[in-house]
Amino acid sequence: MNGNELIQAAIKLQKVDRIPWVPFVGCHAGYLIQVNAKEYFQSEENIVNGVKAAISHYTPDGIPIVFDLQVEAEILGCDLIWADENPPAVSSHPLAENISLDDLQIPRATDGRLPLILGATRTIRKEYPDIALYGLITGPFTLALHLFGSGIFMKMYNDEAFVKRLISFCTKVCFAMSGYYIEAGCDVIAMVDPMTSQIGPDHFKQFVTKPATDIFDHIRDKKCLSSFFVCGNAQQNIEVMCECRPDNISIDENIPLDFVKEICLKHQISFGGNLQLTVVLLLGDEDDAVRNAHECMKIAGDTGFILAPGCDLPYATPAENIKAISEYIHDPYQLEIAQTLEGHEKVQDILDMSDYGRSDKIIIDIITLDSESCPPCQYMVESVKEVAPAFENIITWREHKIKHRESLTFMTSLMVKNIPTICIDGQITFVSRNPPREELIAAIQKRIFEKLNHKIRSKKGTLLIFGKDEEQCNNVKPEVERALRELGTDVDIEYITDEKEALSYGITSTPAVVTAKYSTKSEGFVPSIPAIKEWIKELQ
Amino acid sequence: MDQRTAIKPVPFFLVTGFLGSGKTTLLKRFIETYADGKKLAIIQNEFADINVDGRELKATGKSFELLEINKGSVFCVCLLSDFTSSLIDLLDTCQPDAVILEATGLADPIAIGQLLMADRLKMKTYLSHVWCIIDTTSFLPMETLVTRMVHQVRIADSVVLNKTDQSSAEETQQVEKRITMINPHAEITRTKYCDIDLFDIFKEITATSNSPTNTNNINHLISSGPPNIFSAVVRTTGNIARKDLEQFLSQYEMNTYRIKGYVNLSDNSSVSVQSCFGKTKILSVEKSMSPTELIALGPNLDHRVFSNAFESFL
Repeated sequence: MNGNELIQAAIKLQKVDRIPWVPFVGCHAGYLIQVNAKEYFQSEENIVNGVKAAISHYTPDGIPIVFDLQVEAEILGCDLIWADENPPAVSSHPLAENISLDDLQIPRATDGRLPLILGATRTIRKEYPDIALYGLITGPFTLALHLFGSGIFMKMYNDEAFVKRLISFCTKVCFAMSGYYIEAGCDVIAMVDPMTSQIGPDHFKQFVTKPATDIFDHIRDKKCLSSFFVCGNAQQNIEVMCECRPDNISIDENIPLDFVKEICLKHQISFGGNLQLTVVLLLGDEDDAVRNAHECMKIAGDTGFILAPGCDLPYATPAENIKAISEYIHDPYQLEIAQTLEGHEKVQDILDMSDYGRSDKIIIDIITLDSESCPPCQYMVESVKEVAPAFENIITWREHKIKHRESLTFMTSLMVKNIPTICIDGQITFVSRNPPREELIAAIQKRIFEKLNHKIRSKKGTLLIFGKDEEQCNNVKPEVERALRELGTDVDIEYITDEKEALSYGITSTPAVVTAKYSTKSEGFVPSIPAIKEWIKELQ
Repeated sequence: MDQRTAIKPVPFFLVTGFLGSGKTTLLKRFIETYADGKKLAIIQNEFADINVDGRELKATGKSFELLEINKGSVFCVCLLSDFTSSLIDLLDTCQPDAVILEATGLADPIAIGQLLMADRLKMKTYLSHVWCIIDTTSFLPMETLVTRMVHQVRIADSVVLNKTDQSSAEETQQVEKRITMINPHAEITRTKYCDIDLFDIFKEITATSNSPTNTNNINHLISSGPPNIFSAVVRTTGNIARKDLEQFLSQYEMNTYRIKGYVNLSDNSSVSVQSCFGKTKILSVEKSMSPTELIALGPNLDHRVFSNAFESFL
């Protein structure tokens, strides 16, 4: 199944090969191509390049063309404030400023930024026939708020007729907008109406149910699929949203996914969203992102679910976090690894690995899911097995299958985050990729040289020559120097003429020669008392 | 590294309330009371256009840091990302003694609370106190309309019934009754022009106005080291048995400064929970559509461990 087929099947609650994935890339696409949000949303070329970049980075099954809920408002006379890292914001409301509702015209496809958005849609449609394209329209309630301002809430209370007339106009705008997007080649029309999260189900029914139902019926009549996007805490409205008969409901992290699943599936409606935008995707790391995706997929199950962020991805979301989710969703082994790692944070018994890898032999640890069942793990283990004979008696290798608790502890203690990973003497060396034979050999040789070097540097001998004065020492010196030359050994020579110091070595009669051999036991840190005790024992 | 940012997170105060309820007036009170001795950072994120460029606040003539976010319609959690990076910058560059956020009248306070738990923020700041300002003259009709107003009352530590000079005694009483039904733990103050006594917000976290004065417990926590204060949130649709909730709270109450929120019980009822230094109160509230939501504040609190501990009882 290609991406579009996966989305179509998931929305129709049919069986899917895997859960489809739709990263809601809006202004974040500007970040990917290094233009600010203003430059991004005002250029067809930037939109095309941004969406292409997102497709290449995140291999989505579906993608929105433009995530900007101010497009219609701008055409209808709202002033916008542009930001570098956010979609624009509406700063004036024409209907609150002596402009009559009767003066407003339904936007045409040639108005405002629509030509460049629709142009970008056609280009992307042509280039990516297998990806589901989402056309986003501003929902009637949110558009009404843009046009009238927040005074609409009081107006709902004291002038119901006006608000209904206003929302009815906004509904016609939605009809027109969905028509333009469908014509340009979109597969799913997402009606985004975040402001409905502000009102309760009674007022939703009073003001939103009919317009929203009409919009979804209109989209259905045009043989296209629909989605109802809401963000914010709209839990109270999920049931009434379902009653509007969209094909899909998409929500953000404010609403528990299990709740949405239960209500939506009861109404035979697919659902999606819920990845945590800020705390996880923007501020977390790849691990957090995959864990969150895993949690969402586990709760949602594989019927009628589309994995997506709760809303438009923040501009500077680290691309690695979204890529990690993409890799995870496309790789069944990553799924298994995530399941195994679910108890990861429960590993309390962290091993002290500060002295790991100091033995004479080189230790190669391969952290795997299980080389018998996971091919990437199998190839990595085989690579090590293959080079091992070349280093017979020099290296020891072992596999740590994280299915076993002790291996999980080991992995956590070495701070390994990805599976499979090769560690050489406790150092993370190859992560999630199978090294070519030469590269692996080079890495092992590098470690052998490091150890040898360290060994040579840390062992040193000194020859102490005691004399009552310099002259007496000089008598011994030529004999000692000749012996060293003949042996070719690098030993330091020290001359001691102080009687008290000589006595401290137990020397009572000079000249005398004492040999001292020592090795560096610690360097750059304060050693522990038990370690020092062990070193002292070696001297006795 | 500055010691203050290294070991002592900055208290974060949240002022919520519907549009026109008087949030900016309360902010002015803060500035007038504290700006001479402390470095205040004010974040404004107002939906309405009345307070363009923080003009009203600047009119106080006092010195404070002002950060304005987006300046337009903010309604999505996605737009809070801007807030996060701005807040980090503000904390690093200005090193304020306190941050006060005047939330948009349409903001979800829980979402803001959760943001403060992000790794990049949790060592720098913690949610200390939440005020919700109520326009007494319009609350009753509006709360049935705007669900977010109820969310804001639910999560407040202090509810300020503002504009009581413009409402009848009977109306004020009805509003107060309604607030108590939504949030029985909130400290309610009746006032006009937000003229309320501000407790010493810098004294210590323990000095919040509605904290019980159980000094033994306070000492136990304060003596346990530098105040690495963290917040944790549980948000779940699962229902918990009352005895399990009590057991969960008993596990945490002695080691947290505060736990508060709403819990849906397995007998299909809902309760409001407030626990301060070992003193826990569980009060019945009307059943709502909202999920269980608990916010905890304490030294070395781990969000995931806290959340998992709660979930293990479900």
